[in-house]
Amino acid sequence: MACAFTLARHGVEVLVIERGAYPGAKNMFGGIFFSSIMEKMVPGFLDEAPWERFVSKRKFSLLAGDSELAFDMKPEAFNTAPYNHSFIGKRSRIDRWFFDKANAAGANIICNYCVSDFLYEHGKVVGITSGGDDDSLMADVVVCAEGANSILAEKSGLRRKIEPIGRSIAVKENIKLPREAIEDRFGLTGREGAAYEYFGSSVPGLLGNGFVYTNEDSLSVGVGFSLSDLIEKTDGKNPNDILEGFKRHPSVAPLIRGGKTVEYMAHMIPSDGFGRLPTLFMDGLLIVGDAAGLLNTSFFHEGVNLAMASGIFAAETVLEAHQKNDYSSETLSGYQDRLDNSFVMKDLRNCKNFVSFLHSHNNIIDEYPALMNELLVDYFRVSEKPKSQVKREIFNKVRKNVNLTKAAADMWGVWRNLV
Amino acid sequence: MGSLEKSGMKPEVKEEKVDAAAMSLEDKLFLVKTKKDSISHIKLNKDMCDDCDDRVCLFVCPSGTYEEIDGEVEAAYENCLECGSCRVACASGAITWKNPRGGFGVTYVNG
Repeated sequence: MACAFTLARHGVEVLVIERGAYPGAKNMFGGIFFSSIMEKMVPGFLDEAPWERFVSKRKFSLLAGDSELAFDMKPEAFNTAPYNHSFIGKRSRIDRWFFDKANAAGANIICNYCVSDFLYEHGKVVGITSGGDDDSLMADVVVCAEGANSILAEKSGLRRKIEPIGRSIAVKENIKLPREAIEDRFGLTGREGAAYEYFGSSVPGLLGNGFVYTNEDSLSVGVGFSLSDLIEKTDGKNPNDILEGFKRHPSVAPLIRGGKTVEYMAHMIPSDGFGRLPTLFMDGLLIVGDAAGLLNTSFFHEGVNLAMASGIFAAETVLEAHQKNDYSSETLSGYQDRLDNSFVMKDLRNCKNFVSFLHSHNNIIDEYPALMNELLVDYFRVSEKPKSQVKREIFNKVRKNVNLTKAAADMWGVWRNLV
Repeated sequence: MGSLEKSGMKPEVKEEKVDAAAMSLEDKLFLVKTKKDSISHIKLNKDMCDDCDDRVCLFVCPSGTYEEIDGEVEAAYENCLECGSCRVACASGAITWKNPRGGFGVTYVNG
């Protein structure tokens, strides 16, 4: 959509193809819309867009069994416009609003059209088809934004069949609660919002996390985790079981108590990582967003921002091709250059080892959190034992349980690959 | 806002607190807005399924679309949430998964 908007604004004839009933009907995300790119395109975003709450409060929590260790922040800087460009919302509402902007700029749309394949002429993409007899649509260039379930990208040969390690699976519920209850439970006023991320046993033994985000009068509650971990490490657990386990955690259950689930959703998330990204262009075709694997797989979870940036870079490349009247891969390769020179690829390169590091250092997601919890409990436990003895015992426990050389190497790895 | 008096009287109140929003997967699927097509968008190569020892499709699917009936894998395509996890997870390639035709499948309201 960012691509369509940019092209339409430059007077290029553009048609958006949507397989759902309306823009966003088939979309789902965790819930935080990172809006710095959007605000550059549509300066009115802050005032007009149908976001639910801005993120004024963030919590990063480590669950160990039934315990919780958390780091909570509510900086004044996030509580004033532009609110750290972080807004909790729903794709169905924001996408529709954004399409109206693109439409006003001149972009058209066809809804309920499911692209089954690209059309080719001498190896160049020249259009799309839904598989019907006379519903082909021809174009100078096609920009593919099909999302994480990248069937068309596979068909075009630009990427190999996606493997389970290249995707995460997320399930989410929308849970209705009165707005006063939400504001009381999360300590919010007005349009302030909270984004809580839960690591550790929120998704037992899996690489991923749970989350609770506050909408205006509902909560987005979900879990996301590596598909390959789900297959290899759970002994046949369904994603819904993992979500229910997360909802039952003593730190989460009180937040959703009395709420009513009104929708259940599922979506894949790219975790290709920098080393496994598909080829992003060929004659007459560009790939953007999740389909291109453009997601910051680290703690930041930025996807929307990267996707929109890629859409704009695609549009700039198409404009250049339009001027030259040359849509060959040579001209379209400018898209790759634009991505490489931007924060998109720099960030992806920066977090390229995040997933593989955690896959190969499982102790970081289960053993260390449990031990850290135990040590803190020991440290703060009220007793008549002298504190000097408590400290000595903790020190001995660390020595007994942790190989210090290995732990130092692990911490160095955490710093290098995760932070 | 449970009163002290009430919690004192009812020892089982803790259970009630555990998870008010718990629902069965079946009930959750009822909440999803879908338009069912008469044609399935999921095709299974039954020979491959018969030879498959892993059958990860039976658990990875968030909507439990795949079930074993009399030892055979069946796909209740009308329950599909269109995430595509099964397609990625199926190592044998027995699952041919397409997006539902235009106008069919799920419509998310709170995505």
